[in-house]
Amino acid sequence: MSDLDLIKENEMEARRVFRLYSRKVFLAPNNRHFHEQRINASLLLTEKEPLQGAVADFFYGCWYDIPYDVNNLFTRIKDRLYPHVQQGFRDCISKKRYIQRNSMLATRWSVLISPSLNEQKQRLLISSDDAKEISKDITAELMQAREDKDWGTIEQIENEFFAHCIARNDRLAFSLVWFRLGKSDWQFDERWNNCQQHLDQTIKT
Amino acid sequence: MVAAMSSYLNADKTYLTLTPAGIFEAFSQSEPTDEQLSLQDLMSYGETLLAADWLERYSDEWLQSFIEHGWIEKLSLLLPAPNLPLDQFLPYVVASLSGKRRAAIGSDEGFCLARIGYSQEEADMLSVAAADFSGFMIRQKQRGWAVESQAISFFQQVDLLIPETSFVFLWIDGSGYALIIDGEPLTNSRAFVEMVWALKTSGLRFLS
Repeated sequence: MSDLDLIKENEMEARRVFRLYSRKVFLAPNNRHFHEQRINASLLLTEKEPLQGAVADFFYGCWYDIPYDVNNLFTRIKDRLYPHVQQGFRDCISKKRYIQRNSMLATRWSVLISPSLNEQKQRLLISSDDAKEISKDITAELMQAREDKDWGTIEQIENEFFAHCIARNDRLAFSLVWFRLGKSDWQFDERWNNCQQHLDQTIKT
Repeated sequence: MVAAMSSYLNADKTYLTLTPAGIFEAFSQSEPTDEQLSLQDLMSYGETLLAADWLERYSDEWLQSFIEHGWIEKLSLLLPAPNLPLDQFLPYVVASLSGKRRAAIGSDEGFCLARIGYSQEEADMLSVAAADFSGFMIRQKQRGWAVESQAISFFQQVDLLIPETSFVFLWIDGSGYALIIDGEPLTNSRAFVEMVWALKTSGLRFLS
């Protein structure tokens, strides 16, 4: 088995464990052991969202423990969280707030609480994990098509990508692809500017 | 009671929307109950509804119960419904409902309405399968099996943990839709709410 296969296998196993404990957490929301096992599994995944979702469920299900007995666990995981998310959880630890049933700290991987819609600025229909994956795939596909001199495919991939960015308001993927392609002298035509302008307008409205 | 709840809610300044769980509750049945229709009402306009407007039509007890069930979220801001044509919106939104970013939407007549990640052939085949399963569930219900389920998952591994393919059935204005999701289904998301909101308010406007 190659290293790559082994990594994939280990990740798949971590996903299964994560899902197993997601079910247990759903059935026993106050069981701290289940939450911790789930958080441990999420640390083995490459994305940040499962960890954030699991921690948000933990803070909701075991709210009574959070201000008193969570520092060791939080110290272990905090660097895997985005700074604003880390701050959100810190506010809960210092009793400035409790996590509600609909929360900006929840993710689509949460099972006890749901992501809140009460935030216009963060109205991203895409997660940053997905945006990064998409930008990686798109960049690779475009570079490959350029190497093959397949100009029709390039235009098609670009159009699909613009449609994705506009529909999902995905400024992150757009910036990442723009940046990566720019480093290899990509020819950005008018469609790239139009897409960027569209995304800029969305910020202003 | 209405006055008490309204003041507790600050009904003139609080907007209401459905949560992902609320979407499942509201749109799961081909013949929705009055309560389910009242939930659907929240997804029927071009922007989020004020609590006060909703309470003019429906009871305060319902609202309280829906909030307790986690079907409704109270918002402090007004949100506009997604206004892109469906063909420019659905494929990209539905992608985030799948752990593998492969998903499709089929009609209850077996047509593929949107797809991402799947080839056209795969999406067409799965849309036909989804329509068959939807019909199967309706027939079982008519025969007396109280099928309340809104989704079917298929697994390859014996631990039944991560599905290979899931079909989620929704009924919007008398039309059936099936979400076809590859890998881990991730419907607890804002994208799921916005997708149904777009379907409900678009009048099936597919072209720009």
